[in-house]
Amino acid sequence: MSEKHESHETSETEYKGSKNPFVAWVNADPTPEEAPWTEEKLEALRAGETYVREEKPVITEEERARRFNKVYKPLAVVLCCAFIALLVFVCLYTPPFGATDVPTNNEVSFKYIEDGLADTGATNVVAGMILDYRAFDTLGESSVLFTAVMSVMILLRKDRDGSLVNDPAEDAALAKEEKISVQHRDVILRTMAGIISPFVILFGIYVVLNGHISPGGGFSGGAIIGAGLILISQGFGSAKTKKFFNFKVFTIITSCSLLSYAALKCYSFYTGSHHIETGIPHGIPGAILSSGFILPLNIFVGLIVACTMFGFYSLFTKGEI
Amino acid sequence: MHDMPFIYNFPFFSILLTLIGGMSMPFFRNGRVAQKINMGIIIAVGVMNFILFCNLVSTGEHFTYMMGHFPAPWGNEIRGGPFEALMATVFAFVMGFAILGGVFNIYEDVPKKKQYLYFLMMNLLLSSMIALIYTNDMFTAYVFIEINTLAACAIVMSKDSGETIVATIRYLIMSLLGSGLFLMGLALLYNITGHLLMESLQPVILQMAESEQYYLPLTVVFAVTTLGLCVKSALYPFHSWLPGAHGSATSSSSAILSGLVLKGYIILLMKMMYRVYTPELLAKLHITDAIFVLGIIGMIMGSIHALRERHIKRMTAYSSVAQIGYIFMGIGLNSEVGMMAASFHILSHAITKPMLFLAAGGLANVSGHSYEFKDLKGAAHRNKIAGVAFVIGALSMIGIPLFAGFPSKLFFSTGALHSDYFRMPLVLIALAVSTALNALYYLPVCINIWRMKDEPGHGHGHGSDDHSASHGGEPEAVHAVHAEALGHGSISHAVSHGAAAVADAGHADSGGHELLHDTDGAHEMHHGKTGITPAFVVSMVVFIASNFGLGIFYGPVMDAIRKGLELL
Repeated sequence: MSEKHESHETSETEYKGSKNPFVAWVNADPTPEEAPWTEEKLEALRAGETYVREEKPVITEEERARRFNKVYKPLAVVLCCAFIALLVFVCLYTPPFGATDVPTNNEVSFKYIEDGLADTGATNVVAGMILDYRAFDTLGESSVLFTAVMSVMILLRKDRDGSLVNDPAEDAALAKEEKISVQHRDVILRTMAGIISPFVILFGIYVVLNGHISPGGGFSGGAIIGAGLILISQGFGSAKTKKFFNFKVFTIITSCSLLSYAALKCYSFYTGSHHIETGIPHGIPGAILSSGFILPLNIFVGLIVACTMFGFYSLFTKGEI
Repeated sequence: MHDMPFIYNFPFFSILLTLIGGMSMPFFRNGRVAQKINMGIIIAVGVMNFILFCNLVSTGEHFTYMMGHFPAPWGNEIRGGPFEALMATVFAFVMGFAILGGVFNIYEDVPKKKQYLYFLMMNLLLSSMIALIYTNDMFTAYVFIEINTLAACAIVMSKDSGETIVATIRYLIMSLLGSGLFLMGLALLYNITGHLLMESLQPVILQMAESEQYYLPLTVVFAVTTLGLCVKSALYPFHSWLPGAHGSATSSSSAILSGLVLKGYIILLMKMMYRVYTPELLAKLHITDAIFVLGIIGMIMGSIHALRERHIKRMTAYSSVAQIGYIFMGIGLNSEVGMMAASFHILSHAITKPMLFLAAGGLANVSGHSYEFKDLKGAAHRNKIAGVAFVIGALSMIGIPLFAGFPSKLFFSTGALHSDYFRMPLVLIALAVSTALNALYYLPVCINIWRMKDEPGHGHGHGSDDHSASHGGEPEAVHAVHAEALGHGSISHAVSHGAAAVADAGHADSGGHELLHDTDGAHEMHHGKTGITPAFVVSMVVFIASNFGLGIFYGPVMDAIRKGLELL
């Protein structure tokens, strides 16, 4: 029994907090300023008095933010200005723009321009550069888009498991808004979207398919297609878009395009590093079916970019695709 | 080069395998399947890089690998040597066991339908880190920095709470600032050199430094890219994002962010120092001096911040700030020995810090998911393996012999003895102070978690038999006041105990007994899932063993690092 008694005693000293600051700290007891009790207060408690909590001047979050901003904002402005000044100053010492004897006019860009057509079969040198000479970087860039849209999905996509973004009130408001907009269509928007969007998407496809022979390519064409999809969704409501572009389609297109891109590039990296010919004909320069892998790669990049654009739009507006 | 050994393909396979694994995750919309695939890929990557490492160390070779049909100044390239292979092996190893150890918490913290996305991000994260390690091209480095940034933010915010969202926003802004600085430096670098591949950059830069042409832009390039990587790896004054992001994420994320993601950028910086900028030039431009000073400040300030924390994960996160300070201090020593010490510390921190975070997560699992010290009292008795792992991690971080932290401190002091008279005393003093500070904040936690279980109710429950009513109710009443006054007991079960105590303070004896039993019952139910799964135990045991391994057999590792740095 005495042992139990002892354990009771220790627990009492526990909650009073130790006098020794080091012991208190090891015990993770509140520091003296935080501790709400003193000997007198404990005595008072024992005597049956109620404990009155002393009101400390509380610094609210807003007050703290205000104080912080008071220092931070001017400091940030000064720092940014200093940095801008430094960069502008540095620009004065960089090679002049447009001159012929600048360091960037070296054997690297020379080869890209001179041998680009022969090496890659693409009349558009930029397409040859990003999809053949430096295709690994472009694979990385497409993965960046993929990572971005998947991150947004983690953040914003609604699921039924009580995640933070599932606010029923907000859902109801959105549904109501959707209903109203279905009943009261914006005639101008709808008519114009109906007229323009096919052309927009068609132009996007053109830009993607001609990426290797004229300015453009997967990134720009994909952005145009994505814009067209957004326009359709704006004009006719998400229910209409959902009929042909839902979450499943989105996932399949994005993943399949990326995987095909990676597979094609794996082949070309592997053969390249082992000095094996790919056996892919370059075709007649300027023809649609030319320049080896660049055309399919452009198509895949275009699909990824279009899906990413539309994915961002619908995740940020409705929290689902 | 038709006779290229097959294993030289392994870096390329590792990067592509992890990337393709990430891309194919959306087809398996199931967290558990995704986790198994992810684990398989990590094991494959680890094994491949380990084989490569053994081979490269024994042959003492390094190689470049063309990514495509075009050689050095035109196409992309990756480069492998013993240093890179060692780092990649350790990264895969740590990531595998960090996920294994935290998988219980992942399934608890991440919403069910988003779990596959978490493992998708893990794949992309590993891919980007391996690419950062093996890259031989500055722009490839930038592209994979972007993937790394986004994936790292995603694994923080996948735990769906307000706190993590705020932490992620902070992390994202600071991290993008870092990437932006790096990109600006890169644009400027291309402008003055016309190259992006490390191989072709170095001669141009050396020649430029000799002729003093474009000297100012070159200085700014060095400063800005280094600064960008320092921001991203949380060197002291740029660390503000770290405690929030690492402290609030789910255990595996914290472990991986702290153990690996920070190091990926440092390894890239080291590679750039050796392969692009050359250490001599950096010393001449005083970049290493700046890194050295910030590293020293970080060593001390990180620990001081950690001292003030009462939240075990935030404390561990601040400890990471201090450890990053160590690494940068080693780099700033500007000598071969310092660089070797820094590399060794990357390894020892990479295997110690994930263990600490996972152990902290394990301890919190049995303490009502609270990370506050006061709730963790005696937690090690409820989860013994986590308690042991935390103590070992703490001892390793302090630098006790036999643990991984000791050799790195030894090497840092050796490095100090080899440096100039200005750095030597500074390093030695900073090491001593920082070690003392490490002990000051780690040991109390270790004692605290191993204290006997002393929950308020138990003492009272036994004591109330022979005590009067008022006497028996007292400690709990006081405790209730305590919980209330501290005001942050929202998660702590102390509150529920306190409330029960207040309720039964008036009618003590038998009623009190019942009530206490009730609360204990609720308590048990709340802790029904302790999280001490076989996976957790295995991961902890492996981390403990590897800590001892690195602490005792540091010789061969150091030899490999020396060889790797020579070949860099």
